[in-house]
Amino acid sequence: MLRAIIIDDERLARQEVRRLVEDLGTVQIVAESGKPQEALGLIDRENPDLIFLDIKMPGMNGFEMLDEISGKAPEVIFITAYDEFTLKAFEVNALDYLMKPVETERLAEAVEKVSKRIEKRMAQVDETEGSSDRLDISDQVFLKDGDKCWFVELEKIRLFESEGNYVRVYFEESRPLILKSLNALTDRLSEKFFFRASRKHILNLRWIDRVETWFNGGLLVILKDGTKVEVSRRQSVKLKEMMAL
Amino acid sequence: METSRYYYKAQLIGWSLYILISTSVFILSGTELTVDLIGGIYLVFALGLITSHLYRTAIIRMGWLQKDIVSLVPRVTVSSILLAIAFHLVYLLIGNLAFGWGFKFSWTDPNLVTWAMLFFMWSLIYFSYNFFQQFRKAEIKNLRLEAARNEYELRRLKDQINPHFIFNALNTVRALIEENPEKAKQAVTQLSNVLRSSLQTGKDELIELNKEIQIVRDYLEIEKARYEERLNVEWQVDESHNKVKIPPLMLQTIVENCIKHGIAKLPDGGLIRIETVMKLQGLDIHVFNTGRYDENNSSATSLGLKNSKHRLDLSFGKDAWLSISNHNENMVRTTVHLPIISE
Repeated sequence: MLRAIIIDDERLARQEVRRLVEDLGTVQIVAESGKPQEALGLIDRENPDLIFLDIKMPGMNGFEMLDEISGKAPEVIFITAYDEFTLKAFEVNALDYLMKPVETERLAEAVEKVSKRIEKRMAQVDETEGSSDRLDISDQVFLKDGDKCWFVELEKIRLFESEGNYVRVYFEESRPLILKSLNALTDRLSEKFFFRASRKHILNLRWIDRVETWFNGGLLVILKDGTKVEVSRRQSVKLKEMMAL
Repeated sequence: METSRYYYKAQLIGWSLYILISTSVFILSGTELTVDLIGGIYLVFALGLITSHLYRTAIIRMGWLQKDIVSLVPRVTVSSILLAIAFHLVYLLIGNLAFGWGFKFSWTDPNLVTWAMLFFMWSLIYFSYNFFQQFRKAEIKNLRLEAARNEYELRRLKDQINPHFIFNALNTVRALIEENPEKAKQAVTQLSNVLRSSLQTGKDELIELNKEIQIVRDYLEIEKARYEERLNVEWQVDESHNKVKIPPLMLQTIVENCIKHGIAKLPDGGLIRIETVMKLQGLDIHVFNTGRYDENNSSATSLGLKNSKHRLDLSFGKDAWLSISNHNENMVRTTVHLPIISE
């Protein structure tokens, strides 16, 4: 059974989703909330596999709420009424969504897709034996840069690069700029897979192609996509230790 | 600017053509090309350019371009003759000074007729071009006006029913079917009323206030089913104002706006209060809603109201107006002022 939370500011809309979802028999609704701020606490506490999320809500819209999640992002099925602006947001962001009133078949399909993704991820978790509080390589995060947003699995992220108060995230063809500090990220990412190369960079160890010696006993890491990242002298010692058998 | 570039080009080409044609005529007729002859042709070229340019300046100064053909024909004819005489005098004067032709003015000089014909033709070309330009400009303006009108019509049609409202209402109704079938039935009737009215708006320019109020009541009932305890509604409408005329769905649009920008943005919801107040010059309809109007960012807030303002303007001109402002700390007031039209 997937554990899910419903977040929508209208009670009747929540009730309708609950009824439809419970009829499916594969998802258990563990909580529901009409207030995004309150929902953030619920997500933190319940750590659900999935949330059903409305976009237009008072105080904070669905995207903004996701951006506030500090831990790993749960799977999300967006549910929204017809609205040009919301539809445009989905066009821009290529996210899955359902329209109100929700069709049972489409809901079943969406839930099916989600459980497959979760299964796949669970298999990877077993493989890496990771189960700390920190974000694991198979966890997904929600990134938001202006109007655009993404769900990204951490294994796809090659590099975090600090740019002032922001961090640029390198994955696939995208390079969004997110409002986070590199230090905060360092504390949240699993040390087994992410390495703080210098004041400016955190890199994904799985993306390292080769390592070359650099000036003053430092190292130069070349990632699989060709990006070169300098490693500070102090961190070079640490990297050598980690890489040594 | 573009036009004046064309003008200078046309001037040069036109008068050069004069040189070309006269020279060709002389050559073809076997006349010997003497210095006097060539000098004369170039003199006409130079004087022609200057005179016609002064003529054009005068035409623009006197506003002849705005006159119609009937009043232009006599003016152009007289000007051509006067210009021909003036031109002829200067031509003789310079011819005498430069080439020593002697100053022999005669009213029967065939050159006079030639000059008059030249200026007449010049006017013909000049005015035809300008008429054509003006015609094209007018046509473009007309097309623009028509496009603006079409766009307005289209937007009006689109704004009659807000799809976001319909789908949310249907979603509410579906949830109610399980929970409260009686209320669900009511909601279906109310939704039908709102939809029917909005489909009919295309037909009437104005409707009676009591009809509009009925639409708004139904509309608000549906929204109340959706927002539940988050939406409270108060009415203070005097029945004696029932017959006042209002553009259909105007009040509905305003109330919808109040929900969209007020109630829907507040986690705990708020109040919508509708009041009518009779004034000397007409009726004020106030719609209050909980929330705060951002005067600095009015473009976003009043997008839906812009259309309403336009409709008021079309129906009543200066006798009607719409305003929105912060009533107090947490209430926004939207006011429509309607004139009383006697039938």
